[in-house]
Amino acid sequence: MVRSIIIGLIILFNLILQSTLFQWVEIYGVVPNTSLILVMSFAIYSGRNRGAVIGFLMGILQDIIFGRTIGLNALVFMVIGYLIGLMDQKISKDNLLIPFVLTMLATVFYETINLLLLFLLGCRIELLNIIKKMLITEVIYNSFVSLVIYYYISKLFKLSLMKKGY
Amino acid sequence: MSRNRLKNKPRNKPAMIVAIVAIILIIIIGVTAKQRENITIMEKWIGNIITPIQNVANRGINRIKEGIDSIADIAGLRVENEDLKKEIELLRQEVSKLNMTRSELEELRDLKYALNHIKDDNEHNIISADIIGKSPSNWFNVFTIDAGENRGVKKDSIILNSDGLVGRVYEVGGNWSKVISIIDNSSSVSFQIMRDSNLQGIVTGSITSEINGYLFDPLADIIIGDKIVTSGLGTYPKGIIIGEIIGIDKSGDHLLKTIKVEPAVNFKRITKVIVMEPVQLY
Repeated sequence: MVRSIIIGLIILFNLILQSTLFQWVEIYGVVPNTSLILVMSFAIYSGRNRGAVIGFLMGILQDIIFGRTIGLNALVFMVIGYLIGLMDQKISKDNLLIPFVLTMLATVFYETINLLLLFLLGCRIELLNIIKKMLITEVIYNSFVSLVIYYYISKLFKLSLMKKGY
Repeated sequence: MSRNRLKNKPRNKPAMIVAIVAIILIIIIGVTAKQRENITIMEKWIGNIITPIQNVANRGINRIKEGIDSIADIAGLRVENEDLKKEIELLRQEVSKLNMTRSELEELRDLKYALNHIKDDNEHNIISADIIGKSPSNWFNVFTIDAGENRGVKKDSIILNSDGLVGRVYEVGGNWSKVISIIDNSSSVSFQIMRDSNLQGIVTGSITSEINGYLFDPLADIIIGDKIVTSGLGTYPKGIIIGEIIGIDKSGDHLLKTIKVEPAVNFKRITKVIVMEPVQLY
């Protein structure tokens, strides 16, 4: 219970910070996708079921407050949460290379699915700009930001507070 | 993968649920892809709860940022002061010139009222609002403002600030609304060149937050530095400044003359906007 409330508060807090404070730390017009990184970090520690739920909640909130199309982020975040949650027992959680690589893959996955869905919905796609902006800048930026976030999330999950069931 | 299949049925239940939810979400995406008349009550309430918190957070952050900026900028202030003094001189001269034109305009307006067959079209209901958050997604240039139904904002209301055109309202909540800016890649605005209203065209945003566009007339005589304003065709009323032409592409393989536009509004720095009632198209 305590654990769910803490995760819920972090999700809400992140949404607010991402739309306000993080807008000032953009690089080449790219804002770090901290929701994606948080979904990834939570999923590693919570397993696939909760990973999927956390991803879904994070995505649907973002869609409702900022999205033009409801469900886009919810879908991608849910799938990412589930897939990363599958690795729960199989990876060493203390290695900082894990969040780095996973964020890289997750960002590429996120942008590819987004690109595909937006293309199907009839948005204008400028492939060259997308590669420049999303695939290079965002992947690198996200990966480095993920190191910091993952470090604190892993510390949080080691607290005894977080270990009493849910 | 093969190991998963060997497991008994209940172990795969989560995967089933994820798949079903994913399909439902895809359907929702399809349904909500186009701009809707009204948003659902659930969306409205979630927005009503979260946006006030955002508003407070944003104000705090802006205040801190202003503080830091002003400390860092003390050296620049003196130079700016000099520049402003020069500008005041120029403006004073201009004001005296404009005063003469104004009296002429007033006379003509009086004449128009006297003839009484054209209604005054400046009756838009205007309110001001604060921006409370920008979309974290790198795909869209959407932001939320702190005025909604409670203050009479309508779908397709026009958003301006003191520099020029910002965008239009996409969805309206109880005390918040979503705004699509003109640099968003789904936005397109019809424009005309300020000095010659016959030269018209369309500009669209892009995911790199640039505005590009083309002119209907490929032989149009335009130069870098020309100001462009809205032409009044479509959603936006006539005569709002969009920006300045900073590049013209004359390469032969384009049938149309394409231009690159620097928006008059600094989209990274806007905090306050003006909301204007939409133009009635019927």
